Amino acid sequence: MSRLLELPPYEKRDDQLFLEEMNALSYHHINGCAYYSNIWQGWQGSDDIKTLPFLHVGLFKQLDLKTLLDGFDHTRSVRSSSTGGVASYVQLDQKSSAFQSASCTAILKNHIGDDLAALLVLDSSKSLRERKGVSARIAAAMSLQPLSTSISFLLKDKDDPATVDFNILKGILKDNNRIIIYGFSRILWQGWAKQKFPDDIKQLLSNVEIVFVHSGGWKKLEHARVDRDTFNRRLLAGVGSGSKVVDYYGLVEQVGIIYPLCFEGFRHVPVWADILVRDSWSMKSLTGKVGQLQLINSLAWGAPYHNVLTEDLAIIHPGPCKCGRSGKKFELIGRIPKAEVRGCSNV
Amino acid sequence: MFEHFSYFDNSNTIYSVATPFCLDDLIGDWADLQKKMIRSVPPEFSRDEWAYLAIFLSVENLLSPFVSIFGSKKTGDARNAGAKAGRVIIPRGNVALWLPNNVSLLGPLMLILLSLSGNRLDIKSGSRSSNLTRVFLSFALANLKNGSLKEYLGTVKLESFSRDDPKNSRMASKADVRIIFGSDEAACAIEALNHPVNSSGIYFTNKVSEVWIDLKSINSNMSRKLLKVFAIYGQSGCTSPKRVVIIGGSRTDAQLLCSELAKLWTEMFKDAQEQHVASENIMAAQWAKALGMSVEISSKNGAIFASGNIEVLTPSAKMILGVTWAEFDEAVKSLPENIQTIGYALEDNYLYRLQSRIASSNIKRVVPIAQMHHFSHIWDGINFFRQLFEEKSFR
Repeated sequence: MSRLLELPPYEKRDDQLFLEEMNALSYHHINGCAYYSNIWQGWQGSDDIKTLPFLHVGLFKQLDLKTLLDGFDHTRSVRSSSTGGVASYVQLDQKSSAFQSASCTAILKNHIGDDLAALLVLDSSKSLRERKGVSARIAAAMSLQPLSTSISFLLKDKDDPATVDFNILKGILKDNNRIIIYGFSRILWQGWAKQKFPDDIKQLLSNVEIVFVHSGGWKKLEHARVDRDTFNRRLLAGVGSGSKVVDYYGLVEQVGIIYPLCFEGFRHVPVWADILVRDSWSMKSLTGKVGQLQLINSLAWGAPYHNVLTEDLAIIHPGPCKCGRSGKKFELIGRIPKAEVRGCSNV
Repeated sequence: MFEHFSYFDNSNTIYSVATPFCLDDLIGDWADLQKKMIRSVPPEFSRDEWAYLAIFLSVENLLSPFVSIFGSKKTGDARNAGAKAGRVIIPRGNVALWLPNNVSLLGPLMLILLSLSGNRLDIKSGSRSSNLTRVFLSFALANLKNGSLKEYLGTVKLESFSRDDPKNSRMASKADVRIIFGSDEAACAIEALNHPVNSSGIYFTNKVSEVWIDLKSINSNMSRKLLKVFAIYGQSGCTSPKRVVIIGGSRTDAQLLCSELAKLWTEMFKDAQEQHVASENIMAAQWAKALGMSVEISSKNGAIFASGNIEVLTPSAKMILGVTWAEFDEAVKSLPENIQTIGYALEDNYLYRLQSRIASSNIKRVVPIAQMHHFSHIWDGINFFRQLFEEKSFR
């Protein structure tokens, strides 16, 4: 349904085509989601992406947002990790899931290469069987499935990053000279970077090229005073040459659209997506200044998460990038800082 | 132990209130501190909060719990007061106070009120919040002259620790009175701790408030008072209105009021909200629209005013105020279970009707809008100040 998805992710884009697709997608959600229709009553199309109807990310914690139209069966939901206490739920449908999977694959291949490899996930296989929908952790790991020859789960206990199953790891390392390891940033740090590996595994690791892929943010690592350089250095210590670390930004409310960091330190926008940075007070669109990040994509058909104003701060850097990728690029700054609540009870 | 007596006469009996300090001296010391407070504001307090605390320290206000419970104050000694028979009131001994985790004036206000009782104080402040109680206590100790109050405040135990800390049990096991401000869950947890069999538990838990107005009272003056009250805590304060009910009004009246409030907010509050509040307001406005409410947004995403049917729950976000309309009986019927305060701008006819319905509702206080945040020794329907004392009869 998105012609743009047929293109390489970071080529020059036909902006008019993108706007057309986003208008069509927005009308689709207006017709099928009562909440979205109520919010954007009176909207009659946009001639600029800045005026496209969006939803604040916080609504996904409060409302069951679904677009109920023929051909869109909501088979499962994906749940955020709820660091703020309440989780977001995003309703997934099969059609959109296929586009999102294609999107993830194209983006990741662009950053880590086309060659398939064994995938190790720093999580437990039991996480696949949770009843309350799929967690963001597992959804992120499964987005790497199209790049893999096999998938193995390394943790015996999903809540304890230290419980790496060395037998599974040893088996994979013996049979492969290149593997992909995925984990949430915090879990990769605790379960891998700080891990005391047995000598035989250390020996195997030194001969295997590893692509570490992580997401989930730096907040908890900042508390532990771990910066990006330290993180990368520790992961890459003792592994085979050619190994690298790919850090990507993504959120449950933008399933399928991920923003890996390029070697110049920027995150690039694929042709089937776009971003804005807004001033939180005037809602004006900003370039070159820090503001609230808004993420737009042409792939979400089962629920209106195609245009989401996040609570992350970013800055759009205009101009080309030395990494060679076209399109907008941005730098992620962090979350909007929250002051303490002043009040009298309920806490 | 209690060498000092103050005498009060409620025309039926004389109350001899015993304290470990001279009550007049203590109140006088608070009044002296009030003068020092005018000169500087600690950065942890907003100017409004500090001003409110200073006003709270007036002699009249500090005496008011005693006067309202025990009667008019008598001067002189026992003979002059006619206290050869009557009631002797003594502090119960140890009071343990658990304060909420969010930043709150409750701590300093309770410190002041509880100090008047002469009980030993053990206070747990929120482990996650800036500690206004500690700041105020430090200010007091640094600025008071040597005397009754400084000596008393020097004995107050004030600590921050988590709800899982064993110190909670220690506090509960020694306290004659346990007072908690917090969630229902927190209150249950404290109640479940071992405590002396003759002790009392006073629990101030999750409450909400609203404003009732009638059509005749809608004017710029009323709207300004309402916004002044709402602006301090938004929905975060138990005494702060979550919604406005226009008694006898209509959808159009509610929408017009929302529009008026949004314009006035822009005029009255020039400073921009913190970024996370502005962002939350974007969400709150969309949430309200999603529910079918009509929404007015002040400039710079400062505050949201949303009108809708009385059955529609106002979204929970700090700076959104719901406005609805209902006939009187419908408004009473739709009161939330945990209603605390009704702030009003109503003509007498409605006030008399409200007075007759208070007894059969959960409403704890009905006050003019401007007084919604005023704290006192009777709270959530409980005269907690009275429970700080033991009463002995002397015939």
